Amino acid sequence: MSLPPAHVLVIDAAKLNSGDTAWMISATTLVLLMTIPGLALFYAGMVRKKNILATMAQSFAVCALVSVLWFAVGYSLAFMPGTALIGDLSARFLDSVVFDKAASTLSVHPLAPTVPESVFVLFQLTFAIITPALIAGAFAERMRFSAMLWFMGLWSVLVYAPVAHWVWEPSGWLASRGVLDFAGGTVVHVNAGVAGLVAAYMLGRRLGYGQEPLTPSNLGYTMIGASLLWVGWMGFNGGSAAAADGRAGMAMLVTQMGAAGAVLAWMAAEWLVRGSPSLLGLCSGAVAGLVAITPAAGFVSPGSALAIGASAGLACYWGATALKRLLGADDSLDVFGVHGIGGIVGALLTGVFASPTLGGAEGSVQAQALGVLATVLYSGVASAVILWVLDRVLGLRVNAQQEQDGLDRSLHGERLE
Amino acid sequence: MADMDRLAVAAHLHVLMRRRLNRITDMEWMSTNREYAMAMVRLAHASEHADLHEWAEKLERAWRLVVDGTAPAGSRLPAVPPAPPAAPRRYVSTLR
Repeated sequence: MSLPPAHVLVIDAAKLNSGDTAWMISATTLVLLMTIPGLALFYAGMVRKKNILATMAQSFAVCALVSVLWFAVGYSLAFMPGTALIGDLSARFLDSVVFDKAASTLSVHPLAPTVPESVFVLFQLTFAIITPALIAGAFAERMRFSAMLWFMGLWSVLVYAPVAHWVWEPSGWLASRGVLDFAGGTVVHVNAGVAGLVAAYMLGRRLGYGQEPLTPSNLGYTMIGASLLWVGWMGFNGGSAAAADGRAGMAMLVTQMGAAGAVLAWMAAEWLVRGSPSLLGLCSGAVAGLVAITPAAGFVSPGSALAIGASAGLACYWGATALKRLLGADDSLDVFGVHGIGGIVGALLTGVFASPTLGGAEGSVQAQALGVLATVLYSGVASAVILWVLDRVLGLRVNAQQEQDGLDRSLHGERLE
Repeated sequence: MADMDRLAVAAHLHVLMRRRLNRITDMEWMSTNREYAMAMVRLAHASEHADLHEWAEKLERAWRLVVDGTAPAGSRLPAVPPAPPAAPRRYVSTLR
């Protein structure tokens, strides 16, 4: 057996904390549920009936693809020290993970020193899975499946892993500048939101966009998906404490408050503007609030969480309606409007509301803005380059007939009756 | 032919067009708006599916009865189709 990288500690199994470990295993399962089936259902309900299965297939396939890439290089690039910009390859193929039952030793990562590294790897993998899966909402109903797989794979390694390293690995250049991102407001949501917007521009609008209603097939699916996301988010934010402790409990409490504040704010805005509150609005508000509280979860009080959630509810409603019309891109399921805007609002407000008493860190709006700006620029440019290359090599978009027939039938040979 | 019968024929055509052509139609509108119904009938005839032709002819026949004024007494459908409702704006440029 090869030696683990110096960065990873090999300890006696007795030094683990079984409570922390049990919670992290549970949290990991909750976060995995967010993508399959949570996000798959959330998105499938918003597309037309002829694209439901293809939309679900995207989330499912991304789950498998990113898992293998995480095993090969993703984890190492994101969570090994390397340089300030990218991790090294000392943990490629998960070489760092040690478990010796006979000797009663195992490896732990410094960011989660009381749980097995295997659990930390898997917990972080679930984040790596959901981030590219989120982007799929922006190009729903028109991207070729093969191009989607290539894009997700390349994006996961070339965009997600570096940004995660910048923000979460202590040697990352944004982490060392005091950028706070408890559970991925910048790494996951701003990153995916910007990539989604770029993808929407580069793929072009769906046939009939702006001329005929592209009616959601089943908002019941969307509500079930949103509910799974909401519940799973308890693991997403609570698990990011990497321990079963007071901070995890506080993170879960503020997660609930953030979501609730945003649901009510979105509902009120929609009621005022449109005359009636919609189920889709309630679901969208929940996701907006959950997105915005994500970077702040370990740093803010319940009252601040309500303020962050309410702000995000209003901002994301604007992002998914007026801003969307202004931008002119067919971001089909509002990945930028909800995740991009919600992530930016949450990241900046973390700088305003972060309490050193709760999180042990002082917030700085300037540092948070730097984190957002760096992520927006890198994710935007790198996503555009990847998509441009794939468009030249493979072609990104299905043809008009395939789009008219629906991706279920034209790409997968299946359909719902 | 009573309006319910025409709706039933339209429903058959609606289902067949979805299955055979992957074309989603508005079956209620097909049973109340002659122009729309005739457009769908033409579409069905343009296909190569015999069952679509059969049900398109039935719908055409049902509408001819209304136009010829031979619809049975008690039909609640007016001879002149009503003006189409305003096109729904929701979901046109934004989802939310």
